[in-house]
Amino acid sequence: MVKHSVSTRRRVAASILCVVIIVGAFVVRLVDIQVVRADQLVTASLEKTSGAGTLYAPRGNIVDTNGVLLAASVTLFDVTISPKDVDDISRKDENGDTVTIPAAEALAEVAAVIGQKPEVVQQIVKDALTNDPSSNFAFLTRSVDYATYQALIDLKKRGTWWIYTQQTSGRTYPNGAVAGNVVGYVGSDNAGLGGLELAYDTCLTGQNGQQAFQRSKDNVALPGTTEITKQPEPGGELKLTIDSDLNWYLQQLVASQVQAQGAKWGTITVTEAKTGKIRAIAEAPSLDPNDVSSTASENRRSRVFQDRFEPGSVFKPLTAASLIDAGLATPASPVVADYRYKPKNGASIKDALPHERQQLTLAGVLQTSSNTGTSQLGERLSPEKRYNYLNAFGFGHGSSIGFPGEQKGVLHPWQEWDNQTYYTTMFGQGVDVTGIELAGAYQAIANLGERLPLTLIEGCSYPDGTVTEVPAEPKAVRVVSEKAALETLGMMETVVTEGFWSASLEIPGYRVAAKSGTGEQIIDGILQDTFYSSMAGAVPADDPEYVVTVTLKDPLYKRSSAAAAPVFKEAVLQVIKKYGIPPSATPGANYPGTY
Amino acid sequence: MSATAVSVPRRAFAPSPQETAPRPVRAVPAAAQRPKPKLAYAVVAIGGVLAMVVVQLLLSVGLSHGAYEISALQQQQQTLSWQQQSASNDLLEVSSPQFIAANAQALGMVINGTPAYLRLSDAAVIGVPAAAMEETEIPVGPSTLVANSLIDGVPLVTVPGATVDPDASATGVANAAQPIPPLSLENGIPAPQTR
Repeated sequence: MVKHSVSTRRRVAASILCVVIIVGAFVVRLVDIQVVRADQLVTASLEKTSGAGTLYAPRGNIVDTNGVLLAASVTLFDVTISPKDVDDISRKDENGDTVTIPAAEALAEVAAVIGQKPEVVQQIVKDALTNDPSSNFAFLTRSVDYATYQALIDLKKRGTWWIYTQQTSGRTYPNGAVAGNVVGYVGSDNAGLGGLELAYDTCLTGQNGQQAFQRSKDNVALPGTTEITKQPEPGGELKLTIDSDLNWYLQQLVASQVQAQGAKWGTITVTEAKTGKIRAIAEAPSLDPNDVSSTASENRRSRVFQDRFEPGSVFKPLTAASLIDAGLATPASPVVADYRYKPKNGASIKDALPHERQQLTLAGVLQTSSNTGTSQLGERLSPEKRYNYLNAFGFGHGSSIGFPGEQKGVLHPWQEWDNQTYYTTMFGQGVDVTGIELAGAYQAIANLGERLPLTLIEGCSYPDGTVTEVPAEPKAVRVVSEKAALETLGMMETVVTEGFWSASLEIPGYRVAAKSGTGEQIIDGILQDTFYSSMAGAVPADDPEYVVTVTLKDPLYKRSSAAAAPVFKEAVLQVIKKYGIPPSATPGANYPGTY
Repeated sequence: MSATAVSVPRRAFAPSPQETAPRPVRAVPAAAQRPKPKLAYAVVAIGGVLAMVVVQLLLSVGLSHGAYEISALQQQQQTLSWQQQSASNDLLEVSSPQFIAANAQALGMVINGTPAYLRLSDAAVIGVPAAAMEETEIPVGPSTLVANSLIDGVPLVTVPGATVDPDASATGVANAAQPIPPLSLENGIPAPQTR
């Protein structure tokens, strides 16, 4: 009995020992797995079972006022290769026999699809392997379109397994250079680099989202495990006030004249007189944002916003409107205009061409663009008041659009005007303006004396319905009285009907108000023999709907405003056709030019 | 829990020891005969569990099969949306004014300047109608003056065999056939013509 119990106790002890050892071993392993290597193992397991995907939120579109796409996002593909895996491939030929394609030939196929030379592709592979013999990643090309992607996928299916594609986003401008200088362009990272693409980058940029899921071995999401870890935020759609059809026509027009006249560049703007909405900004040479690199860098900007020039006689109607508004002149105010005028302060004013003594009215002064006449009548208004009027017309202030790199005109304070500038500011010399400032000043005249801030953007709308960047309700500022504006428009009509370029300007059946300008330019202290040729006006003259301005730099065959006049007429005609403006029912103002 | 708080009410309701009568002593009743477990229950239970396992298995097979189907369909949807995007971009490109103008110019069409209207109510002609002329004060340049690199080389629809040719234009360059006239110095240094 005793013996038996001893052996039992030993066996029990041995069993307990065994159990303790086994349990101990398990505990050690457990601690090892759960504590010591926990992080490593969890990471490894997650790597094998979880997948992540990008939820693409493309950059927003840019559309014109009618919703026509000017800029859109497009899915593109980057093509990559695993250099270490580049090898002969085998594929089945049409008879079903397996054939081996040498690596060089397979690379040549890929090169043909992506539009590269085979040597280039081979060099990429070679370079990658030289840097790192185990390299498994190198870019072959970036941003190829869907057709190329499809061709690559076909190649991949036929055995070229060591090429890969990555989805990426690109930008396309279906209308090419239409309003291209205003729309601007993006860089290779799809962020705005110029124009409105840059100015409204915040509105347009989308934020890609992320989703996570548990996946099977072959990378298929397990049902019910997909979780959006970051909501995608698509970019907003930027709507412009521009009408792309009108803009195209005017671009074609100004480009034709720039070519015909051998000019450096030319611009046309069309602005709605009663709202301040810019309907067209045409520039030549223009930028095709699809192919920025083929456009010279000085042609990538918008000259209407970014170039300053001396306007010349297009300033005269503003002086005339100021005089009438101040009650110091009427369209019939007489003045004796000689070729030269030598005021008491020592300045010397002369007209563009020698002429006999003329007995002009204020209307005649505008019609014949008389510098001496303008000077004598303009004297009636103190320089301080004239400065205030020009300031109120918006010169020296740029626009409220905030175009990237926008310039402001230069209007020196009246105290700084010397004896000559005292007079020349009356007819647009000694001041610098931008195209948009000139359009803004004429908008004030055309809107019967009330100036509105010009706008280029209707707003930025997001897919959830919110709209931002809507310009504030325009606050009209009265610059001159309605009477002064109407009489000025009437005087400008005589420029069209009886002025120098009336043959190039008159439109049968329509009342058009316009004024020409030939701006001088001094480069490195030397007065150039080429000019800024411009024309600005409004239609219809009795109740203007649209303001049109034209500027050409350095036309060679017609060096004066004669180069801009036919462009102005064609532009006005197109505006008339585009917006269905009926012919004028009332007779023209017909102010007499002489007395 | 404090002893007093509990003991006070308990004392109030508990019967005093004198009131409790001693219970009569009884024999423990014999345990009832346990009925023999029925086999059917076991079969039902195990069968149920098995059925659940099988159903679960089938369900998850179905689900994972569906997952592959979803995945394939999503892939297809994406490919189709890329295709759609590609096709609609092609459409937008050929709808561009440059392409329309190129086609019109290839047909020899010109731009008509003067607008005139026919009022339907009284058949009155408003404006001055005039024929479109090829000779205009501004010679209209080729449609490629306003560039669109997306349509370069796209075949025209109006003239078979012709394509949009971007090399037909040279922007901003003076016409070589018309040399720049020399500046006349007859009247002294050229003066600006401020008009």
